[in-house]
Amino acid sequence: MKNIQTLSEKLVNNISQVIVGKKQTVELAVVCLLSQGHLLIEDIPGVGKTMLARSLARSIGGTFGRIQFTPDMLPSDVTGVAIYNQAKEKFEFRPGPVMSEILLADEINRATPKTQSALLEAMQENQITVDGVTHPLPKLFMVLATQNPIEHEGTFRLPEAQIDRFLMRISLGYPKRKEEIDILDRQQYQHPILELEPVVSVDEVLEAQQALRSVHLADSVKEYLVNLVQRTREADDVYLGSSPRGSLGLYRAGQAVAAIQGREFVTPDDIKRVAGPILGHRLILAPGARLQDLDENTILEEIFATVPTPDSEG
Amino acid sequence: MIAGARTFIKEHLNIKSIRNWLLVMVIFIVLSNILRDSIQGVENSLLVLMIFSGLITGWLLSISPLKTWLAALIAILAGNLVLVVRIGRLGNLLRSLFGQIWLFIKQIPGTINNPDQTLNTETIPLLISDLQTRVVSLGSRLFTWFGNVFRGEPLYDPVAIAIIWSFLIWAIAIWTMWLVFRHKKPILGVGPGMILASSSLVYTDKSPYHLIPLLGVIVGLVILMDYDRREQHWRETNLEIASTIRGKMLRITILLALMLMSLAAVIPSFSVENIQDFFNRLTENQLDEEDFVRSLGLEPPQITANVNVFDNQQWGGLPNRHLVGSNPELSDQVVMVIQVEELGPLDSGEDDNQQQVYYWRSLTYDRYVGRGWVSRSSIEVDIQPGEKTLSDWPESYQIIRQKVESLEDGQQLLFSAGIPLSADQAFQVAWRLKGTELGAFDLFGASIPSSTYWVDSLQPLGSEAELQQAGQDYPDWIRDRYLQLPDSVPERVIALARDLTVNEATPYDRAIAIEAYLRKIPYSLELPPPPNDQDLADYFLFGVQKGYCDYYATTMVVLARAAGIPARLVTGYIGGFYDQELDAYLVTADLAHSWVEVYFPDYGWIMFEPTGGRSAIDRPEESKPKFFWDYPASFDPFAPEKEKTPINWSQIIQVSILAAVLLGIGAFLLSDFILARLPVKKQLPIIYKRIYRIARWMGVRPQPGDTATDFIQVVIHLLRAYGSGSKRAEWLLEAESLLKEITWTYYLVLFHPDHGQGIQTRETALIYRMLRTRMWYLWLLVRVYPNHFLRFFFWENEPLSIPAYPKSRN
Repeated sequence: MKNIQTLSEKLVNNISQVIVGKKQTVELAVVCLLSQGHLLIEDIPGVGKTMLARSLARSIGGTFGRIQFTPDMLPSDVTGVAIYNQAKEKFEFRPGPVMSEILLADEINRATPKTQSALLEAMQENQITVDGVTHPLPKLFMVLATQNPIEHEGTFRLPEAQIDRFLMRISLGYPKRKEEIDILDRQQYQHPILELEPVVSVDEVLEAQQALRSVHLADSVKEYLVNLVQRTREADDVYLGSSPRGSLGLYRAGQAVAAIQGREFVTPDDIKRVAGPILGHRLILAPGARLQDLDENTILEEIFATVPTPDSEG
Repeated sequence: MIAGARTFIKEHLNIKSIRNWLLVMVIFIVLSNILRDSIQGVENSLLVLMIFSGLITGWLLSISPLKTWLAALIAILAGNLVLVVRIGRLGNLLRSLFGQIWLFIKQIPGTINNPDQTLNTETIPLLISDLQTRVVSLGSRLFTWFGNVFRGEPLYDPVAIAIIWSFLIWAIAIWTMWLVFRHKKPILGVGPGMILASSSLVYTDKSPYHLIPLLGVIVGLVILMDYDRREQHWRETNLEIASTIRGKMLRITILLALMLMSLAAVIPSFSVENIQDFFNRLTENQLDEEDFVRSLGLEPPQITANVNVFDNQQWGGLPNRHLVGSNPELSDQVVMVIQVEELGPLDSGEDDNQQQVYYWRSLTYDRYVGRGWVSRSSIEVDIQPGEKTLSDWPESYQIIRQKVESLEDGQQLLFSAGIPLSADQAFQVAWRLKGTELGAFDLFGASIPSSTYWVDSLQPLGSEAELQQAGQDYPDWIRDRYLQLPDSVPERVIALARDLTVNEATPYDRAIAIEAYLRKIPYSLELPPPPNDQDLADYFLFGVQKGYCDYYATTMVVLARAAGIPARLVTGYIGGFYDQELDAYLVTADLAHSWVEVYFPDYGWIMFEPTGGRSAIDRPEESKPKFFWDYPASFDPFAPEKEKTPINWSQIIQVSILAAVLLGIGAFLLSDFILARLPVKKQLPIIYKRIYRIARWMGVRPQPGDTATDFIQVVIHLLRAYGSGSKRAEWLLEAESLLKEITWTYYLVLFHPDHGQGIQTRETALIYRMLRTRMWYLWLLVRVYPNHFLRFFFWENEPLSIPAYPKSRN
């Protein structure tokens, strides 16, 4: 676990050279990476979503692909297409951007449902099939998709059933004043990403992904985890709660969080730390809730406060 | 009118006022309890009257719009009025005066119509002048008392005592009500009362633990009144307060009061010597402190370990001094139960017991000082059980065996029918004289510590014929003492003595003549206080011409001595109701009595009964025994059961508090010991539960969903908020790392696959103990400086991460 700890530290520090001041969020991104999950970044434009993806890719020395979704995009723009090579007289498969280790799917809500589902299917299956031929995706495959929550015109919101595929939903938000000044300073001459060097290898990441599966969860922690998820289903203002996919994701992410702190066991704090990002987007609120100005965060906060942890007083 | 009454009730009879009233009443009840036992000369009814009238007057004055000086004037006047009427026993007089005035007024229309009828104007001026003299006499007594004190010769005068104490209590009651209800300053208000109570406690054998409830009530009153003031202030400034504050405050008040009371019970009080020294240093005159104290009606405290009962009795006012000047407290409360057996030598016959009137003597007095009786100094001798006080006595003494059960505590005097000879327990006799000749003994009295005892006593007897022949050959020691009369006895008393005895041949007949003369004087208990410039016997014979046993006895002794017959005063009880079932005499308090003993050579001190209304003393036909009779050497082998010592409640409370404290400490240490030796899996949850508990005291209440990390975050912020300012900051802030360490251990136990195997439990227990002390200190800080708490709300929300591995482990 110490290795994982150092690995994540390196990653976070490296990425923080580009993304100023958002250490928690960067850590969450690293957790997501280690948990083999996909990340949905829902945020206002211009706060560094792309930068995050790019710096992550550069830090691990992995290939970086980028899809900028527009309404007229076709699935083949995502997956790749077979092109007839006249010289060789056969169809060659030109892989699409999806064949990268880190894929940035920008503004995924602007794509048509058909294109969206192409990507989502790839995320699920870890392979693509074009013209009957299956091409496996790289061993390390992480999608960082972005959504702009402000604009709703001309968008196709990801249905909640699909959004489930993403392990976490995070947002970066505006930098603080000092941080914004720091950004200006850093980008005075050139963008720091151009200087970013890889600090870990893809293999190390893959190793870490496997290693953290041995992090131990005590029974009480498992129960706590499942209680949390079940509570999301029972909550008053929630129409549909989290699925077992959520529990699994929480499980894996909890292990990752413990691992990046160098611990061999998961504590409820770890669970609580990632539960928000992991469960938030899986809740469908009841119609009345929005009228009461409730959103997923408030409901989740209440759940966190009331579900007793094994080490609490209650 | 009704609206006015309603506002009055709302303003002055609301819950708060009633509560304050009740608390003040409790204080005064305790005060009166203490005073009642320490002052003699102020009986219960007087005390209660002064307190209640003082409280009510004080309250009325305080809620009235009068200015302070006016209220004070009214209070003084009212107090004096109540005082004078009560102590001077002017009630009846006033009643008859007003009755006469009323009659007079009723007669006026009659005389207008009928000019022949004359107005009866005689009685009214008489009554008025009677009233006047009485009031003036009260004043002059008080004046003389003060004069004596300043001259350095304090005088015992029960009337002055009553006046001074009543006024003092009245003043204190007024003061307390004034300060509590008008100025809302409870501490200042109860201050004088407390001072009075605690200083009086010195002079009684009541333990100072009676001050403890006083302390508790005063603390409660002070806190509650202060809270009222604050609440009013909040209301005026429109501050929102939680409705639960009052309840919490009440609980804290009660808890604090109880805590203080327990503390006070355990901490020892000042010693009597300190206080005595202090008093000694205060008085500049050559004032004899004990005399002065006695002249106030107080009993000076016993300094030495051997409580000497006789010191208190050396000085007598009139022996039953509380009777003089005010209505005696004649109660029919049984004070003693006495079984009697006449051992011999005279055969009195068993059935005669019921008709026998026994005189239970306690003390005798030899020296008359005009206003009362004193005993000359005596030597105390300890007598062992079964040992005899006298080895030899004249033949004519009857030996009586009695079993005395005293139901009144504190006296410790030994009561017996006759001179105490021997008892079944150790006792002390005080001899004024013990000579070698037969019959040459002069006993002041005896004391015995227990309240149930068997005693054999010698009753001198003599038949008329024998006594008449006794002669006048008085030994020197009799002449020196028992014919003495002070110069203050006026001539006419001596002349009367002479007149009465001029025709009697023998001393016995002379004594009988005096006795007979006195017995004709009417008996009465309603008397004005005797003037202090007039000799008592003179006053009785030529002044008021009525009285009760003390007067009769005193006068007889004076007359007898004036006639050359040696006589002395004896005090004790007489008779008692003979209860068939118990076969004992039930002696009640109202049977307190004094009588006379006259000395006859060869026969000793023979009893005489001068009190009018009492039956004369039976003289036996013959007093010399017919046969040789040996007084049994020892008591009945079936010794009476040892009487149970009364339950000493204060000691029990003290011991149990001490025991509880020790037990608490022991349990505490034991739990720590056990905790260090528990297996890890059990230890940590217990430790953490305790940490949660201490934090809860500080107001840290985590929600169910808060993990231990969330919890200690809050505590650490508290620590930092208070730790930075406090004097022991460094020490306190160590708690932060201790907390983290313990939390890490806790996590290991809960979540690690090995569940904490390999953790040193002793080390953990040690860490917990170090943490605990610091947390208690933090709790104290939080409670003492609650405002500091506000700082605590503005911390930055930095999540705390548990270290991967704490520095101490690798």
